[in-house]
Amino acid sequence: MNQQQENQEKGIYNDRGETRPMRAGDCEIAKLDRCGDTKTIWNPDNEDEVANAKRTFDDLRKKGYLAFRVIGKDGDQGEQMNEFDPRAGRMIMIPQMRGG
Amino acid sequence: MVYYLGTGGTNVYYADPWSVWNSTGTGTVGSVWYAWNTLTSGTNATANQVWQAWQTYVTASTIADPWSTWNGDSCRPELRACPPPPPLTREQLEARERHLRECNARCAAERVARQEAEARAEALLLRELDEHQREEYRREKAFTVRLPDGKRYRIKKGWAGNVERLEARRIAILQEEAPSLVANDREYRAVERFCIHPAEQLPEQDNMLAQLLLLKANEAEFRRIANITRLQA
Repeated sequence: MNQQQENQEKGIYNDRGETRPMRAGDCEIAKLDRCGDTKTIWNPDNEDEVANAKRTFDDLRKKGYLAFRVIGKDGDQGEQMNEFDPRAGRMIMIPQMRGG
Repeated sequence: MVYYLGTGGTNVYYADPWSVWNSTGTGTVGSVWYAWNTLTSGTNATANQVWQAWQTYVTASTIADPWSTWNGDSCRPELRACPPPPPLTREQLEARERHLRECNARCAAERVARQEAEARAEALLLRELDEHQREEYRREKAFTVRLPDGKRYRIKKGWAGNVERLEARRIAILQEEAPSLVANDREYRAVERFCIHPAEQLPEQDNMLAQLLLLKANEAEFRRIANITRLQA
Protein backbone atom coordinates (compact mmCIF):
# COMPACT_ATOMS: atom_id res chain seq x y z
CA MET A 1 0.00 0.00 0.00
CA ASN A 2 1.54 3.31 -1.04
CA GLN A 3 1.40 6.55 0.96
CA GLN A 4 -1.55 7.94 -1.02
CA GLN A 5 -3.63 4.80 -0.44
CA GLU A 6 -2.63 4.74 3.20
CA ASN A 7 -3.73 8.36 3.60
CA GLN A 8 -7.05 7.62 1.87
CA GLU A 9 -7.64 4.81 4.36
CA LYS A 10 -7.16 7.31 7.18
CA GLY A 11 -9.36 9.89 5.51
CA ILE A 12 -6.35 12.09 4.76
CA TYR A 13 -6.22 13.62 1.32
CA ASN A 14 -2.92 15.47 1.15
CA ASP A 15 0.60 15.36 2.57
CA ARG A 16 -0.26 17.97 5.22
CA GLY A 17 -2.69 15.51 6.77
CA GLU A 18 -5.80 17.46 5.76
CA THR A 19 -9.03 15.52 5.60
CA ARG A 20 -10.57 16.72 2.34
CA PRO A 21 -11.20 19.83 0.23
CA MET A 22 -13.73 22.40 1.46
CA ARG A 23 -17.32 22.29 0.16
CA ALA A 24 -20.24 24.68 0.65
CA GLY A 25 -21.72 24.41 4.16
CA ASP A 26 -18.61 22.80 5.60
CA CYS A 27 -16.95 23.88 8.83
CA GLU A 28 -13.22 24.13 9.30
CA ILE A 29 -10.48 24.15 11.92
CA ALA A 30 -7.21 25.71 10.75
CA LYS A 31 -4.40 24.66 13.09
CA LEU A 32 -1.37 26.95 12.84
CA ASP A 33 1.84 24.96 12.43
CA ARG A 34 5.27 24.93 10.80
CA CYS A 35 3.82 24.40 7.32
CA GLY A 36 1.50 27.40 7.66
CA ASP A 37 -1.68 25.69 8.73
CA THR A 38 -3.38 22.33 8.54
CA LYS A 39 -7.13 22.20 8.03
CA THR A 40 -9.66 19.77 9.40
CA ILE A 41 -12.91 20.03 7.44
CA TRP A 42 -16.26 18.53 8.32
CA ASN A 43 -19.84 18.55 7.29
CA PRO A 44 -21.90 19.35 10.41
CA ASP A 45 -24.50 16.79 9.31
CA ASN A 46 -21.98 13.99 8.95
CA GLU A 47 -21.56 12.28 12.33
CA ASP A 48 -18.25 10.62 11.50
CA GLU A 49 -16.69 13.85 10.32
CA VAL A 50 -18.05 15.74 13.33
CA ALA A 51 -16.58 13.10 15.67
CA ASN A 52 -13.23 13.34 13.90
CA ALA A 53 -13.26 17.15 14.13
CA LYS A 54 -14.17 17.02 17.82
CA ARG A 55 -11.32 14.60 18.47
CA THR A 56 -8.92 16.96 16.70
CA PHE A 57 -10.24 19.93 18.70
CA ASP A 58 -9.98 18.12 22.03
CA ASP A 59 -6.49 16.77 21.29
CA LEU A 60 -5.21 20.23 20.43
CA ARG A 61 -6.84 21.78 23.49
CA LYS A 62 -5.08 19.18 25.66
CA LYS A 63 -1.80 20.26 24.09
CA GLY A 64 -2.51 23.85 25.14
CA TYR A 65 -3.80 25.20 21.84
CA LEU A 66 -6.24 28.11 22.00
CA ALA A 67 -9.30 28.06 19.74
CA PHE A 68 -10.94 31.11 18.18
CA ARG A 69 -14.12 31.29 16.17
CA VAL A 70 -13.55 33.55 13.18
CA ILE A 71 -16.69 35.63 13.15
CA GLY A 72 -15.85 39.08 11.95
CA LYS A 73 -13.32 41.60 10.88
CA ASP A 74 -11.37 44.37 12.51
CA GLY A 75 -12.95 45.92 15.60
CA ASP A 76 -15.28 43.01 16.26
CA GLN A 77 -14.79 41.13 19.47
CA GLY A 78 -13.30 37.77 18.53
CA GLU A 79 -14.58 34.73 20.37
CA GLN A 80 -12.35 32.29 22.20
CA MET A 81 -13.79 28.77 22.43
CA ASN A 82 -13.22 26.22 25.14
CA GLU A 83 -15.72 23.62 23.92
CA PHE A 84 -16.12 22.14 20.47
CA ASP A 85 -19.12 23.45 18.54
CA PRO A 86 -19.92 21.31 15.47
CA ARG A 87 -21.58 24.30 13.83
CA ALA A 88 -18.86 26.80 14.64
CA GLY A 89 -18.18 27.65 11.03
CA ARG A 90 -14.52 28.54 10.85
CA MET A 91 -12.10 28.19 13.73
CA ILE A 92 -8.41 28.89 14.04
CA MET A 93 -6.35 27.11 16.67
CA ILE A 94 -3.06 28.60 17.79
CA PRO A 95 -0.31 27.08 19.94
CA GLN A 96 -0.03 28.21 23.54
CA MET A 97 1.29 31.78 23.74
CA ARG A 98 4.15 32.88 25.93
CA GLY A 99 6.00 36.08 26.77
CA GLY A 100 9.22 36.69 24.89
CA MET B 1 31.15 51.00 47.13
CA VAL B 2 34.19 49.56 48.88
CA TYR B 3 34.02 48.96 52.57
CA TYR B 4 37.32 49.18 54.27
CA LEU B 5 37.02 47.17 57.39
CA GLY B 6 40.41 47.45 58.94
CA THR B 7 43.90 48.67 58.63
CA GLY B 8 45.69 45.47 57.91
CA GLY B 9 45.66 41.75 58.15
CA THR B 10 44.06 39.00 56.04
CA ASN B 11 40.46 40.06 56.66
CA VAL B 12 40.96 43.34 54.84
CA TYR B 13 41.77 41.64 51.56
CA TYR B 14 38.62 39.51 51.51
CA ALA B 15 36.33 42.43 52.34
CA ASP B 16 37.89 44.98 50.00
CA PRO B 17 38.09 43.72 46.38
CA TRP B 18 39.84 46.78 44.97
CA SER B 19 42.45 46.53 47.61
CA VAL B 20 42.87 42.86 46.84
CA TRP B 21 43.31 43.50 43.12
CA ASN B 22 45.42 46.56 43.43
CA SER B 23 47.60 45.97 46.40
CA THR B 24 51.33 45.71 46.01
CA GLY B 25 51.50 43.82 49.21
CA THR B 26 53.46 40.73 49.63
CA GLY B 27 50.51 38.48 50.40
CA THR B 28 50.22 36.13 47.44
CA VAL B 29 46.47 35.39 47.72
CA GLY B 30 45.51 39.01 48.03
CA SER B 31 47.78 40.62 45.48
CA VAL B 32 46.06 39.61 42.26
CA TRP B 33 46.99 42.62 40.13
CA TYR B 34 50.41 42.61 41.58
CA ALA B 35 50.84 38.97 40.65
CA TRP B 36 49.68 39.53 37.08
CA ASN B 37 51.71 42.59 36.42
CA THR B 38 54.88 42.31 38.34
CA LEU B 39 58.14 40.80 37.36
CA THR B 40 59.25 39.01 40.41
CA SER B 41 61.94 36.57 40.98
CA GLY B 42 62.41 33.69 43.24
CA THR B 43 61.12 30.15 43.04
CA ASN B 44 57.97 30.72 45.06
CA ALA B 45 56.84 33.71 42.96
CA THR B 46 56.98 32.21 39.46
CA ALA B 47 53.47 30.75 39.59
CA ASN B 48 52.13 34.25 39.99
CA GLN B 49 53.95 35.83 37.06
CA VAL B 50 51.06 35.36 34.67
CA TRP B 51 51.54 38.48 32.57
CA GLN B 52 55.22 37.88 32.34
CA ALA B 53 54.68 34.28 31.24
CA TRP B 54 52.25 35.31 28.49
CA GLN B 55 54.33 37.98 26.89
CA THR B 56 57.90 36.96 27.43
CA TYR B 57 60.02 34.65 25.37
CA VAL B 58 61.31 32.21 27.89
CA THR B 59 63.64 29.64 26.49
CA ALA B 60 63.67 27.48 29.51
CA SER B 61 59.93 27.16 29.91
CA THR B 62 57.64 26.03 27.10
CA ILE B 63 54.47 25.54 29.11
CA ALA B 64 54.57 29.02 30.58
CA ASP B 65 55.22 30.69 27.24
CA PRO B 66 51.96 30.35 25.26
CA TRP B 67 52.35 33.53 23.21
CA SER B 68 55.58 32.34 21.68
CA THR B 69 54.09 28.96 21.00
CA TRP B 70 51.02 30.38 19.31
CA ASN B 71 53.05 32.83 17.34
CA GLY B 72 55.23 30.22 15.67
CA ASP B 73 58.37 31.16 17.49
CA SER B 74 58.38 28.00 19.47
CA CYS B 75 61.32 25.92 20.43
CA ARG B 76 59.15 22.84 19.75
CA PRO B 77 59.34 22.44 15.96
CA GLU B 78 57.24 19.25 16.04
CA LEU B 79 54.21 21.41 16.77
CA ARG B 80 54.73 23.45 13.60
CA ALA B 81 55.73 20.69 11.24
CA CYS B 82 52.34 19.10 10.54
CA PRO B 83 52.61 16.74 7.57
CA PRO B 84 50.22 17.46 4.66
CA PRO B 85 47.11 15.28 4.70
CA PRO B 86 47.22 12.25 2.44
CA PRO B 87 45.29 12.64 -0.85
CA LEU B 88 41.71 11.40 -0.77
CA THR B 89 40.95 8.11 -2.41
CA ARG B 90 38.47 7.93 -5.27
CA GLU B 91 35.87 6.43 -2.92
CA GLN B 92 36.38 9.22 -0.41
CA LEU B 93 36.05 11.86 -3.13
CA GLU B 94 32.84 10.27 -4.38
CA ALA B 95 31.47 10.04 -0.84
CA ARG B 96 32.28 13.69 -0.26
CA GLU B 97 30.56 14.75 -3.46
CA ARG B 98 27.55 12.60 -2.67
CA HIS B 99 27.34 14.14 0.80
CA LEU B 100 27.53 17.66 -0.66
CA ARG B 101 24.82 16.85 -3.21
CA GLU B 102 22.56 15.49 -0.47
CA CYS B 103 23.17 18.56 1.72
CA ASN B 104 22.39 20.92 -1.15
CA ALA B 105 19.23 19.01 -2.04
CA ARG B 106 18.08 18.99 1.58
CA CYS B 107 18.74 22.74 1.94
CA ALA B 108 16.85 23.46 -1.29
CA ALA B 109 13.90 21.35 -0.15
CA GLU B 110 13.81 23.09 3.23
CA ARG B 111 13.94 26.48 1.52
CA VAL B 112 11.02 25.57 -0.74
CA ALA B 113 9.04 24.18 2.22
CA ARG B 114 9.68 27.36 4.21
CA GLN B 115 8.58 29.56 1.31
CA GLU B 116 5.45 27.49 0.84
CA ALA B 117 4.67 27.69 4.57
CA GLU B 118 5.10 31.47 4.56
CA ALA B 119 2.89 31.84 1.48
CA ARG B 120 0.22 29.69 3.11
CA ALA B 121 0.45 31.60 6.40
CA GLU B 122 0.25 34.93 4.60
CA ALA B 123 -2.85 33.81 2.67
CA LEU B 124 -4.56 32.83 5.94
CA LEU B 125 -3.57 36.10 7.60
CA LEU B 126 -4.84 38.20 4.69
CA ARG B 127 -8.11 36.28 4.80
CA GLU B 128 -8.65 37.44 8.40
CA LEU B 129 -7.80 41.10 7.81
CA ASP B 130 -10.23 43.73 6.57
CA GLU B 131 -9.57 45.71 3.42
CA HIS B 132 -7.82 48.56 5.22
CA GLN B 133 -5.55 46.20 7.15
CA ARG B 134 -4.75 44.21 4.02
CA GLU B 135 -3.69 47.41 2.29
CA GLU B 136 -1.55 48.39 5.28
CA TYR B 137 0.05 44.96 5.35
CA ARG B 138 0.87 44.99 1.65
CA ARG B 139 2.36 48.47 1.97
CA GLU B 140 4.17 48.28 5.31
CA LYS B 141 4.18 44.63 6.43
CA ALA B 142 2.22 45.80 9.47
CA PHE B 143 -1.41 46.56 10.33
CA THR B 144 -3.43 48.39 12.97
CA VAL B 145 -5.98 46.71 15.23
CA ARG B 146 -8.78 48.87 16.62
CA LEU B 147 -10.51 47.35 19.64
CA PRO B 148 -14.15 48.14 20.46
CA ASP B 149 -13.09 50.35 23.38
CA GLY B 150 -11.07 52.54 21.02
CA LYS B 151 -7.61 51.21 21.89
CA ARG B 152 -5.23 50.81 18.98
CA TYR B 153 -2.49 48.27 18.56
CA ARG B 154 -0.01 47.86 15.77
CA ILE B 155 1.22 44.42 14.74
CA LYS B 156 4.38 44.41 12.65
CA LYS B 157 5.84 41.48 10.74
CA GLY B 158 8.17 39.73 13.13
CA TRP B 159 8.39 37.20 15.90
CA ALA B 160 9.01 38.98 19.21
CA GLY B 161 8.54 42.56 20.36
CA ASN B 162 6.55 43.27 17.21
CA VAL B 163 3.30 44.51 18.81
CA GLU B 164 2.84 48.07 20.04
CA ARG B 165 -0.02 49.97 21.65
CA LEU B 166 -0.61 53.34 20.08
CA GLU B 167 -1.91 56.56 21.56
CA ALA B 168 -2.90 59.68 19.75
CA ARG B 169 -0.38 62.45 19.85
CA ARG B 170 -1.35 65.52 21.85
CA ILE B 171 -1.57 67.57 18.67
CA ALA B 172 -4.08 65.11 17.22
CA ILE B 173 -6.30 65.41 20.29
CA LEU B 174 -6.20 69.19 20.06
CA GLN B 175 -7.23 68.94 16.43
CA GLU B 176 -10.40 67.01 17.13
CA GLU B 177 -12.45 70.12 16.51
CA ALA B 178 -11.02 70.43 13.04
CA PRO B 179 -12.12 67.23 11.30
CA SER B 180 -10.08 67.84 8.20
CA LEU B 181 -6.95 67.72 10.36
CA VAL B 182 -7.92 64.72 12.43
CA ALA B 183 -5.08 62.30 12.76
CA ASN B 184 -4.66 59.25 10.63
CA ASP B 185 -2.72 56.21 11.86
CA ARG B 186 0.62 57.86 11.30
CA GLU B 187 -0.12 60.49 13.91
CA TYR B 188 -0.28 57.92 16.67
CA ARG B 189 2.76 57.06 18.70
CA ALA B 190 3.75 53.80 20.35
CA VAL B 191 3.52 53.90 24.15
CA GLU B 192 3.99 50.21 24.94
CA ARG B 193 5.73 47.32 23.24
CA PHE B 194 4.69 43.68 23.75
CA CYS B 195 6.78 40.58 23.48
CA ILE B 196 4.46 37.60 23.02
CA HIS B 197 4.50 34.72 20.57
CA PRO B 198 3.44 31.08 20.19
CA ALA B 199 5.44 28.53 22.15
CA GLU B 200 6.40 26.71 18.95
CA GLN B 201 8.08 28.04 15.84
CA LEU B 202 5.68 29.15 13.10
CA PRO B 203 5.96 31.39 10.05
CA GLU B 204 5.94 35.05 11.10
CA GLN B 205 2.58 35.66 9.42
CA ASP B 206 1.06 32.92 11.60
CA ASN B 207 2.57 34.62 14.62
CA MET B 208 0.90 37.89 13.60
CA LEU B 209 -2.43 36.09 13.20
CA ALA B 210 -2.12 34.42 16.61
CA GLN B 211 -1.35 37.79 18.19
CA LEU B 212 -4.31 39.38 16.40
CA LEU B 213 -6.77 36.67 17.49
CA LEU B 214 -5.74 36.70 21.15
CA LEU B 215 -5.69 40.49 21.27
CA LYS B 216 -9.18 40.81 19.82
CA ALA B 217 -10.70 38.00 21.88
CA ASN B 218 -9.00 38.58 25.20
CA GLU B 219 -6.91 41.73 25.54
CA ALA B 220 -6.44 41.19 29.29
CA GLU B 221 -4.98 37.72 28.71
CA PHE B 222 -2.77 39.08 25.94
CA ARG B 223 -1.37 41.70 28.33
CA ARG B 224 -1.01 39.15 31.14
CA ILE B 225 1.13 36.81 29.05
CA ALA B 226 3.20 39.43 27.25
CA ASN B 227 6.35 41.06 28.48
CA ILE B 228 5.52 44.75 28.29
CA THR B 229 8.02 47.54 27.71
CA ARG B 230 6.79 51.07 28.37
CA LEU B 231 8.19 53.40 25.79
CA GLN B 232 9.32 56.96 26.42
CA ALA B 233 6.66 59.62 26.01
